[in-house]
Formats: sequence, structure tokens, C-alpha cells
Amino acid sequence: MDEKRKLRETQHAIALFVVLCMLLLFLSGTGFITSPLGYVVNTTISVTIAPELNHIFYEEELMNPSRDYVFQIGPITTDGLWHSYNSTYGGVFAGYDIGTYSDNNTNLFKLRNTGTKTIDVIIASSDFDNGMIGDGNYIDVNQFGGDFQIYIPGTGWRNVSDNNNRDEDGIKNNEELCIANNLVVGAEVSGFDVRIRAWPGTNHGNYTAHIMVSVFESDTIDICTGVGEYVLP
Amino acid sequence: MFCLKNTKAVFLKNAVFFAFFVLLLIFESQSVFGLGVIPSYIDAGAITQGDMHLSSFEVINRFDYPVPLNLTFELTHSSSYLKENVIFFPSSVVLYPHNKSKLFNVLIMDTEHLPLGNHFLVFRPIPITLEDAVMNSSQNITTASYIMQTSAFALNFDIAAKGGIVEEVGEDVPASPSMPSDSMIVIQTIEEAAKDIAIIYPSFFKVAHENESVSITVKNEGSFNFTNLTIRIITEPFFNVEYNSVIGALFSGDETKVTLNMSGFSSTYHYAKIVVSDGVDEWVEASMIVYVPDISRAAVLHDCIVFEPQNIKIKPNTETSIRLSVSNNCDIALNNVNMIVSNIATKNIGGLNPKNTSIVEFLISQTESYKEYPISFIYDEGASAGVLRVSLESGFWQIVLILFAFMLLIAGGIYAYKRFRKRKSVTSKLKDVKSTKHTKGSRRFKRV
Repeated sequence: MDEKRKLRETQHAIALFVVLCMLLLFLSGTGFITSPLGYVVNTTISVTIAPELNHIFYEEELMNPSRDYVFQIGPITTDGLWHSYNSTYGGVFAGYDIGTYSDNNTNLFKLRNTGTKTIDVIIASSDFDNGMIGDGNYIDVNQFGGDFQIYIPGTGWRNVSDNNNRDEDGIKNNEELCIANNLVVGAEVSGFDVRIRAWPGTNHGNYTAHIMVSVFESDTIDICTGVGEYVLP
Repeated sequence: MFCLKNTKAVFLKNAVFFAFFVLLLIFESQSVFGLGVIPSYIDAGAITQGDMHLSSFEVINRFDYPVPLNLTFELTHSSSYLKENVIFFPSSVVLYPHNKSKLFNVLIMDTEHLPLGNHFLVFRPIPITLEDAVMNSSQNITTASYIMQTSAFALNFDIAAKGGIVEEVGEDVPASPSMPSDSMIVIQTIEEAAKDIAIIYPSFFKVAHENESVSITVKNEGSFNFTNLTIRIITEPFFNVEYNSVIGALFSGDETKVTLNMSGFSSTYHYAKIVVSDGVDEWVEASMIVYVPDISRAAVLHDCIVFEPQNIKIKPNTETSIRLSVSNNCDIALNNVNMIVSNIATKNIGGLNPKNTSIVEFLISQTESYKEYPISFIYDEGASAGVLRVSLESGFWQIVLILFAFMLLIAGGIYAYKRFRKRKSVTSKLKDVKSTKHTKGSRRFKRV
């Protein structure tokens, strides 16, 4: 009987202690209590996660994509035949990933939505130029019969549009190519490849271009109606 | 014993698995990202013809480009008709590999020339590498291509006729000042590890006088001690700027103010580029828009606006909503009234009729016991200024409450402990009594 009473009283003491602790916790949790020294005992913490539009287009199967934002194909021949970077989907000659920034792996490319919004993705590029403006030597990037193409998984090869008129040919396509439509957060599309060709008469040398991969928030700017289509951004 | 060992082993195994899982998550989340934007969309609501709208965006660099990028901004083809109505400032920014984000502003102006109705502005930062791709082949033809990744920003707005209703931006829309801002922005360029100069200047300056002065702060935020800094102002279209071009020595952590005396404005909008140089290395530059309202200089009025309260008390470390009553004490209507609380808020009040009052609300939070916030009111007809004095509420009652709660806690603990001890001693005594009785009984039994 005494044991039971002792146990009950101990339980009462613990309950009182817990209630007092909870009272203290409640008062501090409302941000009402600050310590005498000015430190905040506890205030309500609000966290806002800003919606972000983001993506990445990079070579597959690699751990360091920062080495793959520039890739190289070459040397290529001037017989008008395609040189593919990975050659999984054809191309007479396979490419070589041999640039300074490359990792010597010639893999297909992958697109991934790393933001917090569903996205549409379009692609365009400048012409490949040897750095000497006015010498007439360039590899033409053009929506209509250009010499630079991208392989879109499930769609096939498509001409990449020219987004720059401040170059040798002075031609710019207004439309750009859709490579992903309504890509949800975290989703990936694998199996992109690119290929290029040069024609007889093109001088030997190093030719560079900037490929621009742009994303648009599908909910507000539903720019793509379908993958492989050319759209006016 | 075996059981205990087994439990420990299971716990260790779980802990290792958990740690591995967390590490995996960290690696995965840090793996790959491109050039992102925040926010990707702003609904600016209605802009009255003739007014302007200022929005802030942020480019987030989550991709470790090993080379610096030059970011410029380009309207998409569909938005190109707004080319004359949009100014990006700064117009271009260099994103170094260690820069994780860059803020920039978009000003919609000349809205009197825009048709009424809805407009949708879409633009992209265009990142171009500042270094050429170095290829390791000089034979035949070798091609290289940079993959530049960017994201589009969108800004939706309606052009409303003068006298129309100016809609407030919704609460779910990211904060953006709705009108010309005098809020100070900081453009910071780190040239080397040790050199770090910040130029603090008004991103947008609205001229209210024929001769205007604006103060710029140049701050040395690096560890390098500059000995020969100079400043240069380039104006476009040209207007007169008088200033002391020699800053001289500026040691680590120091800052100096340069006053620009401006006059001879020839256009509604001017563009001022601020260039700071140390004479040896690269310079730091930034840009400022100078807006000259098309009104008669003689009509400029001052001190028409008064506000109340001017002294307020808030809770420490708590974001508190402040409501100011803003009144027009002059006999003429004031148009396009903007309130700028230095580094805190920029609010557009719109038009304010004579002797009329408007309520403005904004949030404030501070840790200092007392602080003064300069407040400017800029309107088409002139400007007013004042000071908002904010002090923290005394924490006396909070201290009393804490002490009371602690004392209650301690008293409760002592009470519980005493009760426990008391019961224990009573129980012991009872035990002793029982034991004694039992012994006596035995004796009796022995006697019997």
C-alpha cells in the first residue's frame, strides 16, 4: 500500500515538473519570452522556400559535369559527312571529347529539371567560327538546313537554330528548338547527342560556338507545344 | 551481456547506414545545377500610364563554371516590342566562379507610349564565357561548343489609363518595389582574394531640383589596403557632374563618401556609370539611373508630406508591422508619391489630394535598442523628408515572467522532493515500528 502511495506521489511530482516545463516551452515558443541578456530564448521560425527555375544539360554517367559544359569534336573532315559526338544514333564518324575542359568521356547528354517548377526547354546556338571575322570561314548553324544538329530521344535529329546575327553570316533564326516539354521537377531525359559537318573549302582551324539551353516555366510561359518543334520564344 | 552487445551492434549498424544515407543526400543535392532565376515570374499588376515600375530579380549560379561569365540581358522575340520601355541595371554583370548569385533590376518606363492593356515581358540572361575554349588539336578542323544554360524571367503587367486604379501586388507574389526606388543597392566585385570594393549608391535617383546632390559610398571590404583610389563618373546622355575624383587611401574595412553635384539634365532619363580604380588592377563599376520628371522646376514643392507616428516602439528581434499615416499638408494635389524608408521599404502611395491622408504599412525588425530611419517622400511636384525613430520595448515584464516561471519550476521541484523524502522517512519509521512489534511479540512468545 505504501509502495503504491510512494509511486503515486512520485508520479504527481513528475507531472508537475512536466506541466511547468510545458508552460515555459509554450511561453517561449510564442516568441513572448526573451532572456534578460537579450538573447532570444525561442521565436517562431518561418522558412520560405523560393521557387526556383533551374536545370542542367550535361553528359551522362559522369560525376563532374562542370568539366562537360564545353565539349569538342574533331578533327573532322570536309566532305560534308556528319561527325557525331557519341555516334550512338549514327553519324559517319564518332566524335572525340578531347578539350581542355573535357574529361575524355564522349557520352550522350542528359537533361534534368533541378528547379522547383515544371519547365519547357529550348535550344539554339551561334555559328561555329574560327575567331577571324570576315574571312568567310564558319560552320553554319541554321534552323533550315544547317550543319549542326541535335538528336532528341524519341524524336530524332533536328537542326539547331541560329540565335546570333553578329557573326559571319549575319543570319539569326527567330525560332528555337524545343527539346523538352512540361518536364516535371526532378525528371530527366537521357540520350541527347549532337553532330556537325563541314564542307570542302572550309579552312583548317579551331571553330567554337555557344550552345544556349534555356528553360521557361511551363505554368506561366508554356512556350513548347511539343518536343522537336520550333517555337518563337 | 550478449544481448547488450547485440543491441549495440545493431545501433552502430543503423547509425552507419543513416550517416551514409545523409552523405548520399548531400552529394546528390550538390551534384549538378545550372544558371537559375528567382523569382521566375512577377505579376506587377497595373501601372498607370506615365508611371514606372521597378522589379528585382536574382540570377543563381548553382553550376561551377570554371571560367567567368559575362551576363547580359535579352528580351525574347515576342517581347522585343518593349525594347524601348525596359532598362536593365546593371546592364551586364560578370559572374565569377565564386559568385553564387547576382541581383539586378528591371525598370519599366516610358509607359505613356505603351498601349493600354496587358503586357508580358520575357527576358533571359545571356551568359557568355570570358575565355575562349582552348582546344588541343590544331590539325584539320576541330570544333568546340560551350553549353550555356540559362532561364527565362517573366514579368506581367497591365497599363492602366491615368486616373485608373493602381492595384497592389498580391501577397503571394515575391516582393518588388512597385515604383521608382531610391533604395540603396550594393554592387560588389571581387577582383582578387584580397581586393574587394563595394560601391553603395542609389540604384534610381529621382531629380527634384535643378541642381542635385547624391552621396555615394565606396567601401573597402577586402583585406588589401588601397593607397591610390580614384573615382570616375560617365554620364549618358551627358549631364554635368562635379565631384572629387581622388579618393586616395582606403584601408581595409574603411569607407568614404563621395558627393556628386549634378546639373544640366537634358533628358528624362540619364544613365550614370560609376568607376572606381586603384590605378594598378581592374576597376569596379556600377550604374545608376537618374530620372528627371518633366515638370516645371518652379512648381517643385517641399515638405508637403507629414507622417505619424514618428516615434514607435517594437519588440526586439521580431518583425513588426508599422502603419504610418501620411498626409498632404499642401493646397495642391501631389502625384506619384513614393515613400522610401532607407534600406527598409519602398512604397508607392499614388496620388494624394490636399489635406488627405493615406495609410502605409511595412515591416521592420531591429536588434538595436534605438535606431533612426531616414524617410523620404518623392513626388512629381517635389520631395519631403523626415526621420522615423524606432526603439525597443522594455523587457521588464518579460524578465519578471521568466523569473516567475523559473521560481515556480524550482518551487515545484523542491516541493516534490520534500514530499518524496517525507514519505520515505514515514515509511522507514513505520517499518521500524513493525519490526519492533514483531520482536516484542517474539519475546512474549518466548515468555509464554
